[in-house]
Amino acid sequence: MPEAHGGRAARGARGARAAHAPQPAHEAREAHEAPEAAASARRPSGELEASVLAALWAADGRPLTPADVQRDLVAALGADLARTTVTTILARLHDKGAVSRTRAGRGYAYLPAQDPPGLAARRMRTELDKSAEGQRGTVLARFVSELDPADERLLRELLAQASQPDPGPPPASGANPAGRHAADSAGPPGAGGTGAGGRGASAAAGTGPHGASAGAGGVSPAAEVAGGPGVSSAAGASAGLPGAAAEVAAGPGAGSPGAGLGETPPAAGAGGAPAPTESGAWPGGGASALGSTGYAAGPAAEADAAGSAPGSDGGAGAGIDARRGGDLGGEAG
Amino acid sequence: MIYAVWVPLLLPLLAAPAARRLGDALAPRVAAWLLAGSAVALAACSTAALALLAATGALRLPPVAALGHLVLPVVGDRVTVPAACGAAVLLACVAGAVLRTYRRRVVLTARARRAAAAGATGGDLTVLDDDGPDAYALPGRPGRIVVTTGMLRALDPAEREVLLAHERAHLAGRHHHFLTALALACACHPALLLLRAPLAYALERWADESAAAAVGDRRVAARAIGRAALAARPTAARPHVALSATTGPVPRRVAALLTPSASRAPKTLALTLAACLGLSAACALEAAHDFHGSIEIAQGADHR
Repeated sequence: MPEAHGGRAARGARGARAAHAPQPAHEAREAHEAPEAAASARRPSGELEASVLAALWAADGRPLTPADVQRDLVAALGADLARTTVTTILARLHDKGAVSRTRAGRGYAYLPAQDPPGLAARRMRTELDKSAEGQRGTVLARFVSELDPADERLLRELLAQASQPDPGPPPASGANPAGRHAADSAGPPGAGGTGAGGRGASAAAGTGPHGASAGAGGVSPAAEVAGGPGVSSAAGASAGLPGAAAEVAAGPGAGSPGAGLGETPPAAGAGGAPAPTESGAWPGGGASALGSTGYAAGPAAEADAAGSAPGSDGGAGAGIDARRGGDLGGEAG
Repeated sequence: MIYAVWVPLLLPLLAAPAARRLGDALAPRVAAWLLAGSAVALAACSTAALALLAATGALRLPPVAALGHLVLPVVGDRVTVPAACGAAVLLACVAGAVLRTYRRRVVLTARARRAAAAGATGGDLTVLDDDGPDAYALPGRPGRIVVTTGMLRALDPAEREVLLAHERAHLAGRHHHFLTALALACACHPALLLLRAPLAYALERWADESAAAAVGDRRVAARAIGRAALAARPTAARPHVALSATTGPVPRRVAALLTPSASRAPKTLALTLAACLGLSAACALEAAHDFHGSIEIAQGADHR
């Protein structure tokens, strides 16, 4: 699923780009001759290499051209990163054997080099987890620790607040790439799938209708939630966590439909994205996304409606309120 | 000696809660240093006290006394035999626990390094082809960031940068040394276990702040952490535990990124902790001085 979606999104983007920026021929050779761009001078090349490798692995088996990688990184870093720099790094990774490449048009498309499907890595990690006797967390600093159910609910509420628009202008670094992604994913029909696309959509929604009338935007989901599990009940809560919402329930494939569904209502308000089509197309994923977030959607919206200023920047106090509301909402539901 | 030597053993019971609450109120970097530093200081004092107690008892043994040319019984020694024996046993336990803790860390790090060797490497990143979302910083020279493909796929490009910046902050700040120091301190005095979760939290917050500064957007950083945590939660139904009154670390981290608040340390707590640390050190020194004095006296008596 994600390959198909992502592929379409990427092709659409590439098509759009091709009009004004044709892909350079023999990129690898050019890159060796080209001077390193400014972005790589600011960031150590090891860090860029890591980002490129991460982007390739995150693509889930889909080969990426240097243009794709560049677009990912520009979205992530908010910096102008020359295509030649990306190409250089990809060539370097290829020299090391970390990536493989295939001809794609006049350049190359790159894939992370994987040994027989990562069995060694998985076995090692299992061994690491098992052998640690619960001590692993005290030795290796883990990015995230485990959540208990209450934490999970609170976290969803916090993320829902985070995805609500700022009263002020959006941060400069996020605005531009988000807009680009929204444009990209709007190209092919129904491609709101990948994490990148989803993010773009949520950011676009944030700057759109909600920014103008935050109060109304904050209250209306509450009414909908109270009315029943409509499509938009997921909107408030899961806008910030689209992929994750459905991923555990139905595997990575369902992450994208969940994302599309969760974010369509605000988008529909903005410019008429095909919300019903998407929910129809992905009934399973949609249902799971609703099931897992409906819980959180109610209380989050409730807390907003009850709180003094819906849509205003959620403070710590608001967080506590939302949490309390979450407990109540959970019992009611 | 009779009182002073006991104080460092008991003070961690008071100092650890004070340090924990103080750590909550401080900025993450300061909190991490405070927690790890206090733990090490308290552990050192209490272990010194145990050693002094045991040594005083040992002086009563004829072979030891003969070795030091002491006259038995040692003058000025008021430590009872049962207390000295208990201290000796505890000291042995401490030594065993320290060794075990240290060895476990070495073994675990080696294992993690072997696991990372199975991954694909580029720059400072090692990717493990594994659907289970996981990410950690692997200390070493150079340190490595180990991330599974499951984690990479759960995040969007900007969030991936947050993840990488977070782990880089762990490596650059040598955070594993803090964790090791505290683990060894806990092996010396169990009351210090109280500081383990606060230190882990402070270190994560420290790395979170660094990551937010690196990507220049606190909201993106908060979202990355939240989404990673939601993706990483176990799929299997968990036994239904009672909902805890306290919030877990991940929502707190996200909230802290979303609503930065000025840290203000309560003066009374700071004073309490400082008093505990000072008293602990002073008592350990006093006991050591006492011990030294009694040996001198005993030796002097011998030479007379």
